[in-house]
Amino acid sequence: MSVLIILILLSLSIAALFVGFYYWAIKTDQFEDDYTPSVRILFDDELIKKQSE
Amino acid sequence: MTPVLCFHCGDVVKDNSFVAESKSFCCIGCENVYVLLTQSGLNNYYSLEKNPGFSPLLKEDAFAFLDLPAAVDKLLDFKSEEIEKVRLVLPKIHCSSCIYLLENLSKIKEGVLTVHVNYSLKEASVTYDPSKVSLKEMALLLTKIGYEPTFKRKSADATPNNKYKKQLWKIGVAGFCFGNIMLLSFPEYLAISEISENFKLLFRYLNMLLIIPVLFYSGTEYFVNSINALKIRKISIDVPLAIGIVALFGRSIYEVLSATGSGYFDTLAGLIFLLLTGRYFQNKVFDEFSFERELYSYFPLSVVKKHNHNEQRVLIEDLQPGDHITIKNEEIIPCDAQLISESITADLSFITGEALPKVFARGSRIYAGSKVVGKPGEFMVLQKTDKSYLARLWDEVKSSGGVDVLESLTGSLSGYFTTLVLLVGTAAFSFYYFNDNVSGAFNALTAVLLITCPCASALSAPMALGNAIRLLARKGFYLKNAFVVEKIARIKNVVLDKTGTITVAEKVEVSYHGETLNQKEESFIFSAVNSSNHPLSRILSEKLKSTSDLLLVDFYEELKGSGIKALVGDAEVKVGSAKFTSAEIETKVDGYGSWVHVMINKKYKGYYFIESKYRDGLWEMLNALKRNSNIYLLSGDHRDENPKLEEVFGSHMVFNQSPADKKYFVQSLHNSAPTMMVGDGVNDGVALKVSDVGIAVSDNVNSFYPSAQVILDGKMFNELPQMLLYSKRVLRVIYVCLSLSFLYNIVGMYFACSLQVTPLFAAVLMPISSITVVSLAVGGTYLAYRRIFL
Repeated sequence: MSVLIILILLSLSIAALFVGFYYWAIKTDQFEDDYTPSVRILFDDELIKKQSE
Repeated sequence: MTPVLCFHCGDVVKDNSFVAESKSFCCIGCENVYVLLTQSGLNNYYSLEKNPGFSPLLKEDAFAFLDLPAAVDKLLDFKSEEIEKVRLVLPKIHCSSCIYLLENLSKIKEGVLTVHVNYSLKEASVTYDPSKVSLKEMALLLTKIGYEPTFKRKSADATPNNKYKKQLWKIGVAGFCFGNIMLLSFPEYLAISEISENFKLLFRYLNMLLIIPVLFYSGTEYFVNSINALKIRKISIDVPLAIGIVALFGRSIYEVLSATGSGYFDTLAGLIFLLLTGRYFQNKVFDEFSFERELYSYFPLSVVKKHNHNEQRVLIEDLQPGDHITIKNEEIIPCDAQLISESITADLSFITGEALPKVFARGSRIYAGSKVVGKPGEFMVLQKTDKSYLARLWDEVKSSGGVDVLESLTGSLSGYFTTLVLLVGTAAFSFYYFNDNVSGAFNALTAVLLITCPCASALSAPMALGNAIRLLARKGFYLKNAFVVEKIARIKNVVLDKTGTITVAEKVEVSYHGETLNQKEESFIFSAVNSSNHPLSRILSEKLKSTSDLLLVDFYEELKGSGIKALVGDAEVKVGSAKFTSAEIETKVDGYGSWVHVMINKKYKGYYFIESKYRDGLWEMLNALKRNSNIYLLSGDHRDENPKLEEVFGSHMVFNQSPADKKYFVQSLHNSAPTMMVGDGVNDGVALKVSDVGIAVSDNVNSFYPSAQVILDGKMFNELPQMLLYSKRVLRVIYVCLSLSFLYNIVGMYFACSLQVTPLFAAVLMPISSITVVSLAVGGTYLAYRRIFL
């Protein structure tokens, strides 16, 4: 049963890790604009091709 | 035959003279943009979307104020020797091609380093090298390719972003704790008996630990709001919530510490998490609409000041009484001023509500906020902007409103309900206490509080109203807060402004009646009226501009109050009043408006009829509105003789009203019954404020709305009756939800008072009541929306 202690600690720390990611995402403005990045990712390919020409 | 569309902007190509690389364009501007983009290797702009562009508009001098370093500094986010950063608002961003083009701006213009587009905010953050490109050049380039930037004065609106971040973080913390508490509560849910008592205790204490950030970080606003409301002796929607939260928390702590139960930490964390999420989405809707704009955002940043025959741009804050300034066509006069050049025409619709522009003679005083139309004028500043008539009107609007407190029906109902719950709780408490059952007394009190408070009054109204304003926002009605819905539902009187509200702002309808004019004759008239500054002449020349040519005028005379006499080529043209042109026919058209009669070579031809353009479908809308409420027309303009207005409004029409008159009119109506004022512009501002519900009609989201509680998209104006009906339906949904939760609460209170609340009972009743009430609220408001609007 004492394995539960480890599991609890593990689950809490994984969850805390996610909160950390979430905090980072907020900090880096990832919730500011939910449309442009989805379009921008389509240009990048084309841009790289242009530069290598 | 399908018409040829401009390859750039998608407009119909009228004349085939603009062709480049076998592609047709509607104008030279579009062709230039195409050539510029293809030369810079940005052909993809056209492959991402079809006809993505905008025909570029280039106003001369539009960005002249950017020559002033002080003005530029005000706009910049960051400034150093090598780079400058600026955030530009580009309202024309509308598709993925726009993002592509803007983010590749560096290929077109050397010196632009990076462009980062935020599509949702229609903003672009630009980093550039000030030694290679100036902000003005960039603004001109953007305008040239069809994305005219609008410059906002930086003020308090730098903070909302941080506000949202904080809110997101609060939700995140609450969500994290909520999830983990649920996980740790699992053994309790399933009543697993194999787990030893020690583990049960550990889980409970961990839960207790996890609830602390939820309560003391995420949930703080509910306490702060309730305390603020109680300070002014009002019960806001947050008060019962705060009481419920405290009761849940206290009871749970007690249960855990005394080892009598596992507490209700999961319910508490879930409640706060859901409430915060709801509030976040509600706030997001209003992100784009600021209800409280600054007066200065209406004015240009700078004006041209004349000083010893030198022209110089200055910021409007730096203007001093006595300065001489020049204001051009379509520019706004930023301060109360005296006209020192020859007579000009100015549009006062924003400050007084008059539809047609007025002529001002030399020496007359003219108020800030007026817009010069046509010929430029030179003015002497009389008052600084912040002391102008408009600024004082603005301040009056702002100061006459106190704290927006909740006095609505569901608010007061939940107030009564909270009192009732507290009474029942105390009664149960004293009953057990005086029967020597101290622990039973505390049990009963907390059980009553926690079982009743959160779900009933707290959830049904905010959920129903919150969903209702979200749905209304889809239809172009932007409500300041949820409780406006309740106020709208009780409206008895509807007062409508005329100019810009029931008529389309700055638009008139011109029709010609009489003997058909040929193109040559139209050109005669056009040439005669073209040099006149009279408002009617301006309208006429605007109408004829596209179809006629400007001919040489040999003789020209403008007779005040009569008309214009002119010799154009070999023709004598007389344009003006019926008497002036000796029109023999009586004007017997349906409607009202202004008549301009035309006589060419002493022969009467006919007349132009000019009237304000009413919104489409206005009459049907007004008749629908009349069925359920009293409607009034309140106008700052001169009397409108349109028989249709008479038919709809009857005697409920008042004209020539100053902003103060409008205020008293609305106030007297408001004293007898709930009154809604529908208006636009600052001339209605005070009236909007004193009404129960002020609705600002706006054809342009960027204009400003002092003191309005609802912003209505001009295109949706005709749906006003539907909105009133919908608000009534929403209120009905709330009543149903409230009755349902009362029912739950009576059952709950019975069990609580008889000390039968077991953890299992609470775990079943609380979620079920919340879920049914919430889904009823959301579903009911959505069904009503579908039935009324779709």
